[in-house]
Amino acid sequence: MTNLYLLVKISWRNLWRNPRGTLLTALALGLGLALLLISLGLLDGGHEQTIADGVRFGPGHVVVQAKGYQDSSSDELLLPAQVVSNIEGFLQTGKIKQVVRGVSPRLLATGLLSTSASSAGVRVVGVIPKDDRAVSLIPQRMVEGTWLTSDDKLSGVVIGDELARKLELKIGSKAVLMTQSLQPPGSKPVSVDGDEMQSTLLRVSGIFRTGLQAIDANMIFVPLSAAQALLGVSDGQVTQVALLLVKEGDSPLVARALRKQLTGSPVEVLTWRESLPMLAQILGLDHAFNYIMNGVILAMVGLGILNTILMRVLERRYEFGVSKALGLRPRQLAVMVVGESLALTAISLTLGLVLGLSVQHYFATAGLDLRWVFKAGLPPALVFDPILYSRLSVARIVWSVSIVFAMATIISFYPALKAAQTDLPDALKVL
Amino acid sequence: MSGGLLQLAWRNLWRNRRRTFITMAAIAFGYAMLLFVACLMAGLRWQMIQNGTCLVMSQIQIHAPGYYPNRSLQKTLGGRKGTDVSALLASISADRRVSAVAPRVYGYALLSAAHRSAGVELMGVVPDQEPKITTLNTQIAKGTYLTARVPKGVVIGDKLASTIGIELNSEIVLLTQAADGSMGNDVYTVVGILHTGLDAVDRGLVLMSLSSLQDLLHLAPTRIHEVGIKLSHITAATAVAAALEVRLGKNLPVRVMAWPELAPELANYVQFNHGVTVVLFFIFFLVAVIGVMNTMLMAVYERTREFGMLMAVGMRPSQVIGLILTEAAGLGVASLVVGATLGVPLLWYLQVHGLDLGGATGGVVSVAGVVVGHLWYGRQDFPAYSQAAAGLAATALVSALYPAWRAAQLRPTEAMRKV
Repeated sequence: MTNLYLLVKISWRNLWRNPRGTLLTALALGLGLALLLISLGLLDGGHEQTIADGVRFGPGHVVVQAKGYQDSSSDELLLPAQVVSNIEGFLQTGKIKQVVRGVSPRLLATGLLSTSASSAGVRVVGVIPKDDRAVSLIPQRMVEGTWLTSDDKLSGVVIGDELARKLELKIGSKAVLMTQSLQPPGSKPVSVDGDEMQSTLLRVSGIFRTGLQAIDANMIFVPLSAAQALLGVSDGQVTQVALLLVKEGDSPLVARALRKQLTGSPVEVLTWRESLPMLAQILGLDHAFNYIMNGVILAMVGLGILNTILMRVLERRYEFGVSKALGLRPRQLAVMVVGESLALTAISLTLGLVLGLSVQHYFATAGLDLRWVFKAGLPPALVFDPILYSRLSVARIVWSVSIVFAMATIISFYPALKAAQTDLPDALKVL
Repeated sequence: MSGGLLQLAWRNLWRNRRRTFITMAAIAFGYAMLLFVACLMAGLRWQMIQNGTCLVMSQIQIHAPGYYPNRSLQKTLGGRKGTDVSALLASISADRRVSAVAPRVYGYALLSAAHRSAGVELMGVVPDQEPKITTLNTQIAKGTYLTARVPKGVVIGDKLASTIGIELNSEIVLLTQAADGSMGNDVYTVVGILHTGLDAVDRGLVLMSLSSLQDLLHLAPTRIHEVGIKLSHITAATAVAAALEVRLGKNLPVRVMAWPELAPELANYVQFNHGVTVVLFFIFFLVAVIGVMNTMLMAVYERTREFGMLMAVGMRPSQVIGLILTEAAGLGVASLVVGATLGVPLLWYLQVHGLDLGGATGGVVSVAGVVVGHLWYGRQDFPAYSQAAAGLAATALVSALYPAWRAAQLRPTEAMRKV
């Protein structure tokens, strides 16, 4: 036991025999870890930002809709009023209330929006203005006018800037929306020119720009009650109820709870992975990209450690020869070398953590500003926030520190073995 | 003397092969990794542009001034009289950077089938010319692309088909306002169903032959809205567009737009992505630099005793520094060559076979209006390769210089006392 203590002490002294060299080495290894943490933070941050924005342009983290809607996207499939009130009631109870950030019932249909200039096929979304503000990102992307307000007259409409340009609409302009009333499937067929075509005059109260052409040229938002009246839907029926959660990770949990609560109703409860398969795939791609980048950077950091430890130890044959001549056994020499490498790694990791986490913290709060990329000035709309916020979970930090530590430990065995095998007369030859 | 210095440096490198090998590994492996990352990142950028333009849009579009983006039916090339289409296409192809051209006509219509209807965008193309500039013909999920056999055949997106409830070979009615103000309507047969993964196309586009769309819209055969162009090298798009606008403008009022103007969303995304990858590449570069720096510093520092000996036998400090720098330079260049040699098969593989991300994505993905396959191809980025090489070589020299300079400051006896 005293032996081991002695060896640790020798290792420690060896380390500080040349403090400048040791600190330099520790700094170099530490910088490797710091850069690993910084790049992981930026990659993970970008990943989470994509999810957060993606679900808020779509139906949220979890969506409840009539059974079969996802596959058929047939607008006649509606949620009965009592299901909606059941969901809203359930979300007010106990634990579930704390994980839900917003709940928005929506009615969706297709229509034709016309002005004297032109006309365009549109996707009509009926929302409760206040509720949708808590779920959707569109209210935050208004470029002119305002988002719908609850005291809006029934005729207010919010449209995208692409559509506004195409139809030559401005704030306060009027447009005619033509829709077909929604009939439950199986009821009598409707002729194209039948009485079931409804039209109504709307007044533009706001224009948004998301930068996503599919939304900006296509989607129009009207108050839910107006949409229900226009589509001949009895009060309370909607297409879907979109939920935004505080944490994305709770999505499967909330979906399961809702499925249980709504057992027996003809509904489907989907998480964003199911309702937005495209987004899930993009993230899969992004994940694969991050995976490769992580692999590359780990390999590079690992090689740095390998070089450093090999270089530190393999050059010291003379010193090991002297130690051996003084009576240190090969096993003790090996323990000493491993101990020295581990102590060095521990110092490096501490330095790296302090350095990496401070830079990471800066990128997490102030963000990494990528606006310089746009040389010709910032484009009027960006789908992506040009400021990238770093995000690093504790698990990720533990993961990277452990991997780096494990690499250092494994790598230090080779020079330890070499040191133990030092051939005495050969090693003591002066260079 | 300098011949002697070279010889000495050469011998030193071979004297302690292990040290030389470790240093070489740090530089070569770091460089190979940087090559790999630069190649993948350039590939991602190129693939985004390529895929974003090749599906429907094409790399350059020529319109009558004022046609884009409102796509007013009347604003055909050459105005109401139209223009000699084949002469125009020939004149565009005269530019050697142009690899293919195809004319197009657009319109809007109400599509109805059975008891449902939807507003759609009509795109009229020449079935045997369009596939030379875009790849929509490769995205047919069911049935076939437009053929001359079925002149009134249409191809529609799968989401439109399922929303309206139509199948292959169903008949549909297209109702539109024609160019002369009358209502045009006619019956068409669905010959193909598309699946691109892009909502705007899958849900809202109807593809038909140029001549049948001209018939529906009551447009004369001389009247087209657009010419799509594919180039041999997409990087030249903006320059070619500007040149074409000047040249064609002499005979016909035209507006020529390259893809960054046609798809600012894509251009934004490409630029944003470029920013992210530049930052990442810089971080990777720093990691490589630190590895090289640390290895070099230690390799030279450990030889202080040896340098003391050299100075004791009469070598001047400046000569010692010269010797070390010569060694470092030689080692650096050799290592970069080794790194590049390791990297070349990797880069070749990335460019030819691509990296298969199929497991992670499960098929086709669209990002910012771009369809991305599951294969990620590399693309050579020689400026990045040479910058990385220069950076690593400079790092190797500077990190050798510092301990060498310190050793040269010592008196020989002091230097020799260091172990």
